[in-house]
Amino acid sequence: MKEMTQLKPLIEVNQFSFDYEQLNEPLISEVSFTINKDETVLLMGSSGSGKSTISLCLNGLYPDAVEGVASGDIFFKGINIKDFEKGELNQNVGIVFQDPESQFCMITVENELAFTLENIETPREEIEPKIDQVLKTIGMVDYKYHNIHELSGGQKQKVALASVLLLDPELIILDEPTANLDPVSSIEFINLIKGLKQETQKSIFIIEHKADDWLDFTDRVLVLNKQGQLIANDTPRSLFTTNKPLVENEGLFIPKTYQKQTLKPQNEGTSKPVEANMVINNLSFNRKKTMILNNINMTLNKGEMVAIVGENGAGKSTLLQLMAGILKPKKGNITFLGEPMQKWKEQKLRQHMGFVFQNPEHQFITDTAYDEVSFGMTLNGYSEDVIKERTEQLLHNFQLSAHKWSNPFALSGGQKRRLSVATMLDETPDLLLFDEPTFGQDAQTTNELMSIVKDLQTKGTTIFL
Amino acid sequence: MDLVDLYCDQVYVINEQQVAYEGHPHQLWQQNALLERARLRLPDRLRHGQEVGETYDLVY
Repeated sequence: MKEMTQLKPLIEVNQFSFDYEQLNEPLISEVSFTINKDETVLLMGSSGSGKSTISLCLNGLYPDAVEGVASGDIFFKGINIKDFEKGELNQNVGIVFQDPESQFCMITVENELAFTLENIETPREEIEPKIDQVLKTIGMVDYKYHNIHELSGGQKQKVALASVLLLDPELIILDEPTANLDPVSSIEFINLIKGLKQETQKSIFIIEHKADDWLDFTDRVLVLNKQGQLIANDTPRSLFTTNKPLVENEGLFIPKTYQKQTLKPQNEGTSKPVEANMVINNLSFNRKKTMILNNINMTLNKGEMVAIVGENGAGKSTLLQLMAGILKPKKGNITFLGEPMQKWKEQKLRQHMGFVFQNPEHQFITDTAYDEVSFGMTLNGYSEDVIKERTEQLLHNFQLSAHKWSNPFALSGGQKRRLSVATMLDETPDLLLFDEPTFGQDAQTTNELMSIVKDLQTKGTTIFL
Repeated sequence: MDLVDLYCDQVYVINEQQVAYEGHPHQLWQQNALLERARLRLPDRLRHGQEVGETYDLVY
């Protein structure tokens, strides 16, 4: 921890409110905080709480750019940001956005970086050395002449960071910079920032809803609630221990380091009877001329939990869609419960196989939790009594009875996830497919779901992640 | 990756359009070269162990 008293605020936000329309129920409501020189501050808040809006206010782009309304003040080194010339503040406060694509103007890495330097009237002879220098900093010297659109997501994000670094700002704002990156690229990017932090004394303002990977160099954490009010301004240790309920109430993730329970593997040494539910033989699939999957062989046994992993774009979703019969293979075949996939009738297939989407909201088609669960049974033509009994039972099993007449979209994250699984269980399926389930992120939802899933497993359902 | 580590009986790694590994997850975590090639991150349980310098016995 740094001595607060010795630090002079670089940014001071004072009773600041902002909205796109009017200020009686503002998106950001009377927020006050400071960011000191050389400090790393992390802002958390659930989606829609106004996190990104704050960052655009800090560099002076809002409210003018969107004709929004604001009250209160923001000071940069003691000067009200309203008193800065247009474009002046942007050189002192650089932002890296969630989607790197949104911030590029040129085709190649070199041109993009040169464009940034030309904008700030860098003398011609200094441009090349500066580009080389910044590429060295981000570890991408070999990519100078590459086309930006051919780079990976992680590399693009590093180029976006390089553009910001060339402006030599005193504050760097990172707005969910790893949201679109795969886990490895994401940790690489965070380590790059950590290294920068050690070498330069720049202040860093990070916007994230998951703090985990940033924690070891974060000095303070701010929490914005759903009403746009700042409800915490605290050190990570104090926030995630003493004030933990505050964070949990907002539905935010407690970093793993601060979660009491350490999970033990539950997949050791269990021998299960081997009986295949699905067999995939020499499966190949291509889109136009691009090969997506080449000669895949898999056997999924009854009662097993099986995962496929691979980097983004490796073809995992394609494989799941082939297994669910949504796509047809170009070569090879899939057998499900002894029958070739192409012989299964749609309705019959759905009774034996469930598919849980990545985002539960994409699955909801009715207005209440009850209708959501009973929908499949109605399609299958069950009698009303059976439908009522089974729906009530499922809602009960998934601890959703109290919410049966709630709109699915109004449920909490954990409830939505439970409901999305419940809708697939009107029959005990032989195979339950999960497309990149995101429920592994907070301990409670994970435990609730895993106990349900494990129960299905003992009934012989194959679980495929 | 944590779910795979804690609960799965079998894991397939897809890399370069093909199955690059099939087997129990706990054996996968030892294959550093493959993990790197397929850009996979170790599960939390093992990563934190590494960070504080502990060693985990991966023989089951």
